[in-house]
Amino acid sequence: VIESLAAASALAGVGLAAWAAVAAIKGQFDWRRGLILLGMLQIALLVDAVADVTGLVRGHHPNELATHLAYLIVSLVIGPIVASQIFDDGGRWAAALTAVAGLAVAVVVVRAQTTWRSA
Amino acid sequence: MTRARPPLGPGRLLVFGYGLFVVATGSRALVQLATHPGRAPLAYGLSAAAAGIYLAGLVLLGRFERHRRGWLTARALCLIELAGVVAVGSVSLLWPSSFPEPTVWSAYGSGYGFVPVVLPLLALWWLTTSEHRFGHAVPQKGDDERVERVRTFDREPVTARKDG
Repeated sequence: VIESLAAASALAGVGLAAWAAVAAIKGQFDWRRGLILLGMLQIALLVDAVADVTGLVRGHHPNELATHLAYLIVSLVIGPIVASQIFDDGGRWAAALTAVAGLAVAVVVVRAQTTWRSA
Repeated sequence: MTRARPPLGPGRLLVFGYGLFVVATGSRALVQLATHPGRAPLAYGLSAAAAGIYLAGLVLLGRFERHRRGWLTARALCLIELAGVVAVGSVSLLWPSSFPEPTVWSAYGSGYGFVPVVLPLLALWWLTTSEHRFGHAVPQKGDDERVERVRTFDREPVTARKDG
């Protein structure tokens, strides 16, 4: 885990959630912009995951390895699942799904950071 | 490329939420039971049971969301889930020593931002207000408009259906 990148990813997740929540309330969701934002977040998460796995290979021992790996995998699959759901959907509920996904990514990234630290 | 299905509804959001909780609670229970099962067997067992209920919720709500089948079963499961959260949450607050370590539903799911108590309530609301609640459509205000919207998304000429 690159601490600064993980923190930025968590903040980006919250930002995405806030933007999508406003879009859901207004009923005006730009799904293309949503996909772009999700894609940017996904790239940051992928870079962080590569750094994470490299650290593990080099001998880092996280506090809770199994839990940490679960969080890492979940953080990577949320984006693609949600992207497939909101594609070509400018509706209120697509925006709500994006908002929930942004929050979920933020929570999962923070938990992954916590479990990354050595015992 | 065009979208070959109607716009998302609240059901898909709930299914996503249940999916997240299957992973979150399932992996938590699995790690706890695999690494130190003797430390708090009751709490870990309850977390595993919660994970099982979320998995069942995922399957049942997903089935209802896609095929409009299994309304009663899905509703019964949500009621069981809500009863579990309220019971475990109350016991954990009234008799804290019952659980040496917190369960998923301790303090009504405060460890998960109280989502565990909100999720079954939202699912029950959705199931209760669903226009297909008994496996067949119950006509509701604005139905014609909704059907029209779905047709537009299918990119299928409306006249073709009327004629054919």
